[in-house]
Amino acid sequence: MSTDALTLDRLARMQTAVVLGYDPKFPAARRERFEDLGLLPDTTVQRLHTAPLGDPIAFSIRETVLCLRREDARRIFVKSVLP
Amino acid sequence: MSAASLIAEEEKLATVALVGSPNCGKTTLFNAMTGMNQKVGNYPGVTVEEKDGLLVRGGRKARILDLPGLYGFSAMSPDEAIAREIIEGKSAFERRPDAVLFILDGSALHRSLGLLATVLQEGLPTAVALTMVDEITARGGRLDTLKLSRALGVPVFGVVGHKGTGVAEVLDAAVDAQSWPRPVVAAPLESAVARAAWSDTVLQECYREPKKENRLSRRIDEFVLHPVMGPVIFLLVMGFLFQAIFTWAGPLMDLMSGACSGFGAWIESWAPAGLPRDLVVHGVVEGVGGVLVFLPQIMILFFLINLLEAVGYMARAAFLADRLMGFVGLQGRSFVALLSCHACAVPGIMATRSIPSESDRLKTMLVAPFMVCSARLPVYTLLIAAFVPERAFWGPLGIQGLILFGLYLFGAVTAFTASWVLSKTLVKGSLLPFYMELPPYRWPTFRNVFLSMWHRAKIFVSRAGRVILPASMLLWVLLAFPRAQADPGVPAAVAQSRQLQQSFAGRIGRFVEPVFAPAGFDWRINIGVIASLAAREVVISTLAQIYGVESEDETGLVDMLKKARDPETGRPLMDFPTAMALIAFFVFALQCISTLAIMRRETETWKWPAFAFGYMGVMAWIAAVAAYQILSRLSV
Repeated sequence: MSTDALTLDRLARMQTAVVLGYDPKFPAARRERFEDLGLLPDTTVQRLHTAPLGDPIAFSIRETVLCLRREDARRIFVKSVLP
Repeated sequence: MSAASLIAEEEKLATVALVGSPNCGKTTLFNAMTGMNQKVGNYPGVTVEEKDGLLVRGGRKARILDLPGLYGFSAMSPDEAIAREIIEGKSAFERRPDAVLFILDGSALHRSLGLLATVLQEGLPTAVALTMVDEITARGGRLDTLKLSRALGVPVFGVVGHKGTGVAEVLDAAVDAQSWPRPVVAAPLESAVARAAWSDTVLQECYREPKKENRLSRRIDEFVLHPVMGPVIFLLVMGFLFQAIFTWAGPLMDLMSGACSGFGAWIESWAPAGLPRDLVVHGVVEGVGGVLVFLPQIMILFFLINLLEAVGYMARAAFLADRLMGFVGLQGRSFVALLSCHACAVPGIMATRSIPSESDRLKTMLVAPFMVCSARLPVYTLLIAAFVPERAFWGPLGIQGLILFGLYLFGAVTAFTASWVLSKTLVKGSLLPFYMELPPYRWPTFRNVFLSMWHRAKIFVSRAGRVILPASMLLWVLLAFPRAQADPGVPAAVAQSRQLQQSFAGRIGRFVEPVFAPAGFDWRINIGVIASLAAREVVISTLAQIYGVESEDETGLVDMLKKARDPETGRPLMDFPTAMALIAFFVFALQCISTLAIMRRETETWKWPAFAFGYMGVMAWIAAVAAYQILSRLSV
């Protein structure tokens, strides 16, 4: 994937996207945990709130709201879903 | 072992494990099932909580084991690791449960089903309690529990926890748990993708997805997590929490101390004078009083924290504070724990339990004692009032107030710096990535809030009390023995002074004089420092006693500090450099056996409290010596 592919942390506020996959260098243990939390390919996510100072970020994933740090969100590739 | 597990052993009861993710309503169900027949403790040697209880229903009984919440069998915290091991039957702490009651979170169905898929593969007799059903219907969705049951092959009970709907059926079923079917899952679901596909298939039959999002929660969050309003609301809530423990707990604590002194005075009124009476009044009653006096703060703090947690605000607060805390190696929830320490480190350290990462929990505990607690306050205010000139600094701000505020700030800065250092050295990071769920805002279940508060109080009294009471009695012995010669002609104050001087504590005080001399402390101040291990504020009254000063009121103590002189050499007890050195000492030293006791309880070992005491003690000595040496050379 090209380095300027869209990653989760670069979504705009309230922007919706679909998860494509994870950075292959992302540690497997972390990826497994995020998958258990619902961040799987083809899942729809929407960026909601950002904490002061830019980190962490709250996303809606299906029915739940999950907060992630930038450093992890940066490793998840997404594709924007136009309204 | 808990009462429930002992009874279960004896009567050959079945153990039903409650399994689910955090925030799924498991605790509400557990409380409904066990009521007051529950016990909260620690698994031996670890900081993971063990919760079990007895369910009694229609003459039949079962042991209910509330396992720590987990999101999956993947990447573990110690809590999740233990939950997984117990379910798999590989735990050293628990036999494999006889049945599993899985709590399926209706407000997070897809995610919950993923975990259910994993648990079903264990093949234990299983039933499912579907919680938050009201949230599904309120948003226009519908889940047919009968169809779900057929799709899963296990019984499914719909429950609305805070209303109690459906709970009775769960209780009836739970005492008959061994008759639950063992699920047969068609294909092994090894990966998250496979589990997600399975969940979709299952839900296809019985679930109509809600049309609307949880509007109310979203709307509230627009406000609560707003870039400007968010932090403002956060500061207001934290300020309120702080005020509550500082201000409201105060009168209750005075009431408690008053009751204890009153009880002691009553004993003194009829018991014959002598050693046994002194032992009971000053050793036991004051010792027990020293433990009980913490209860109002603990109960108020935990009531409020549990309420905020139950409503869902705590997660938002942690979200807002996380980045700031992250700079020094901590995380969002550490903020609340450290803030509470401004009243008293004991409940603050207990509050670290809510921090999921063990290393963050430990770091927070180890730096908590730096926060200026309410016991340090009288020491600071008295010393400042006696030795810092009452000059104005800038408009209405006086130097005295400024120094006091500076001390508060310095305490926080020291705590953060220490945490940063610990993060780089001893307490390296956790293997979990950071993530946090923001659950929907919910009306709190007050029974949960009260039960949880009750457990905290109970645990404190039994476990911390077990250390504090003997320690304070030991201190009393050190101060009261050996007995000085009773001299009837001498006024009580002088007799008390002599007693302290020749007690064991007095001898220790003289013995360590060379160590503390560079800080300007003489053996009298050393006795005060030793005595203040029981409670920091005691240092002033102990000094008063050594100088034979009767005075109880503040102005008297301030005068005493300024004017007291060594009867032999004429040298003043304290001067400005010594006073500042004493303050510096108290800023850093872990002068509190109650804090040590609670650290021991929360970390399950003496290693960490000893470490904290040691490193803080060294810092305290260095600071006191530096303060004295520098200030005594300057002409202030």
